[in-house]
Amino acid sequence: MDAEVAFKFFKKLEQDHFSLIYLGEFDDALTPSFIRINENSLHESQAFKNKLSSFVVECFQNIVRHADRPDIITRTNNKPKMFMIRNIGYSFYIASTNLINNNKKEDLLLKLKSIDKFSAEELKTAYLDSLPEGEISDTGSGGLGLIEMAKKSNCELKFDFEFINYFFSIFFLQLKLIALNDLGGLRDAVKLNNSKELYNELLAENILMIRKGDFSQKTILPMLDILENNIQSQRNLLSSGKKIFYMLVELLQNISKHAKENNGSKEGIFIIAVKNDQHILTTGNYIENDKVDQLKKKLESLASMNKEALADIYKENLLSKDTGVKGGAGVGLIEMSKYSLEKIKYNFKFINVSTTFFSLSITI
Amino acid sequence: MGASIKLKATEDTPDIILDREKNKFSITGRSLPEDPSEFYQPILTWVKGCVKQPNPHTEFHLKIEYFNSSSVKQIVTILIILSEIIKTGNEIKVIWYYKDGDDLMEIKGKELKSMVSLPFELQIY
Repeated sequence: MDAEVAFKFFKKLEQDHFSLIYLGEFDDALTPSFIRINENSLHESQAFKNKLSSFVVECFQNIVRHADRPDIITRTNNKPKMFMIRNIGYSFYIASTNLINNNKKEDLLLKLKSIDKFSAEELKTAYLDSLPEGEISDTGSGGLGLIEMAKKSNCELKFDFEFINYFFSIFFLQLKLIALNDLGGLRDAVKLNNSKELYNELLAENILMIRKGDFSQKTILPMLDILENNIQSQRNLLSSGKKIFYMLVELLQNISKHAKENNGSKEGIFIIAVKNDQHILTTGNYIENDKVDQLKKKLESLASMNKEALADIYKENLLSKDTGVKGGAGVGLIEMSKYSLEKIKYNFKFINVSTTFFSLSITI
Repeated sequence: MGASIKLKATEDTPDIILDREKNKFSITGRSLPEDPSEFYQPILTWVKGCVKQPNPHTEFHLKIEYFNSSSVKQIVTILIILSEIIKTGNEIKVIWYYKDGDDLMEIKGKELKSMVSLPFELQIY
């Protein structure tokens, strides 16, 4: 995976104020972290955040409880589970993708179609009114299924099945929630087909997680929780897990420190992919054009160094009195160069007279 | 300079105990603050004051689970200040803890040890 992948997906998610897409293994322990990322990233009302969180919980638990799993993974049925949340304008799209046994399809279809039978009045019964005040309980919405919730809260629900073999189909489910009654701004920014397409592109790039949006410290921390959990479940080795985590922190904080501010947020994208048992960590963000030359020089110089030279310059940097933010960033890039199994990949894409899109990719 | 500093761990900052009376000095847990130089500023100030009149035997315990690169820089600065104690004729020893099999922390401990001139012990926990 090249550093340019960051730009490719950044463009695909261009309209997104916030997006989080996660593929792989799911368990209930992850739910709180996902909720926290949303809570910390969004500026909507608390009531709406609560509503959104209950959908996230439900959607997540749906995947945990109902996804079917082949006994033997083959090329055809190797379709990891996916959870996605995207915010565009006032619309929020929550989607899940998982395998289900073909013999369950009929039942599920019946349930999904029952939504259409509800009258307008019934739909008007705001689901939120029936929710208890305050925090969401561990069980999410008291056992209310996702489909029931969607019915009662008048949120748009789309789904599709993709037949993959005699036993399994991929089940795509997508919900749309609207934060404000901004009817003028309503449109379908994310169609179900877009999500299906995205799923396949993520699979093709072996992507485990994408996060786009603001990268302030408070949104980074819950993300680290998710990744720590994921890395631990994949790699039992303490040693490599720790290194991946260390590099994650450096890359994510790099965005929060150095990204060019756009509408008051440090916007960027972070992608983690797994290929041949190695993690490829990629970030992308806008930077000021006048920072490009210096950064390029620094990266080129680091790329030309061998292990010994890197160790020397690391030591020199740590012992220097320069404690400014600039010096700190230097240490980060040196450490990335030291720990990356392949040479650091980077790319500068000229956007306009003041802005360049900078992407950085390391393998660990 | 206050008598002691006690900071409870947060999600991204470590638990810190600097207590001259009880002769306990430790940094434990995660150190991932966005701006480590800001976080460690009061710590550095305190340690600077402490090394002027150190206890006869000081053991400084570093048991760090996760860190960011710029926190390491701050820790190096603490170690450099601590090495002043040697000149006063008092004893100072730094103990760096790491879990068995945790290469990153073991290597980091060795790197730090090679950078500063004071007794520095690596210990598995």
